[in-house]
Amino acid sequence: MKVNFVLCLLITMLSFTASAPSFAVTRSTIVEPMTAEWAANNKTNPNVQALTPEMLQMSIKAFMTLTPSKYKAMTGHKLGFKKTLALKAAQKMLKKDGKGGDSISKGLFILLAIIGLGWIGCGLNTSWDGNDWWVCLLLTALCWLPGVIYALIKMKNYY
Amino acid sequence: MLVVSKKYTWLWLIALLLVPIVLWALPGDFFDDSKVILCPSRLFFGIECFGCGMTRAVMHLHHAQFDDATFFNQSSFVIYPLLIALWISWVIKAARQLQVLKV
Repeated sequence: MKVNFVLCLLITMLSFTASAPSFAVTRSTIVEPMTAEWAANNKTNPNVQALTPEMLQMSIKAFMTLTPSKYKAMTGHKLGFKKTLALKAAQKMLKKDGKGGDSISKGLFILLAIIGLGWIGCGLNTSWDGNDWWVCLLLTALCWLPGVIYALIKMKNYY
Repeated sequence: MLVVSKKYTWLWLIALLLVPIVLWALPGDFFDDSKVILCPSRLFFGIECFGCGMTRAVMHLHHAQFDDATFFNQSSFVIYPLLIALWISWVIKAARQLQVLKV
């Protein structure tokens, strides 16, 4: 009888230990929301600082297509005038950063090529490194057309 | 001076009266996801001009969605009342031509 009682007590203790939560002291039990990479990279930017926590957790693709009505559908809260302007400004900033510093748009490159300044377009797209820009300049000096053709051929490498 | 027949004036008046109703019937974000870029500035240079987003902003204003209108183009708050004034002047002119309005 005594053995049975001890056995029952042991089983009860074992089951309690297995099912009970850990009482170990942890540094922090608060789980911080994960900030998206783009937000972490731009956290010092005032436009990004003005955004809501929900926006900062979104992927960059979702953030770039976010509108006030989509935000309201997502969170149930209206964005407000200031936050709307902050959203727009942040999207513009990210769009500008995504394009890169020295590259120019395709249309502008074509226009420059046509008016004989294709070498400037080549130079801007390559940050004036390599042979593209001065070869284009030389070819443009040879009656304009070879320079245009060269710039348009090189365009494939840039866009 | 071009003399427009009454029939066409009636059609014009009906179209004018239907336009705001149709726009109200459509959802406010009807033009939001348009993949077509009509702006030459944006198409060729990737730079948004002062008119970019105006259609979407006016559509949202038409539905009293002020946040979205601000988001797409803030100038819509100036343009939309001007559009309303233009619409009213056209309606009054057409109505006078048809002698519906005797003012």
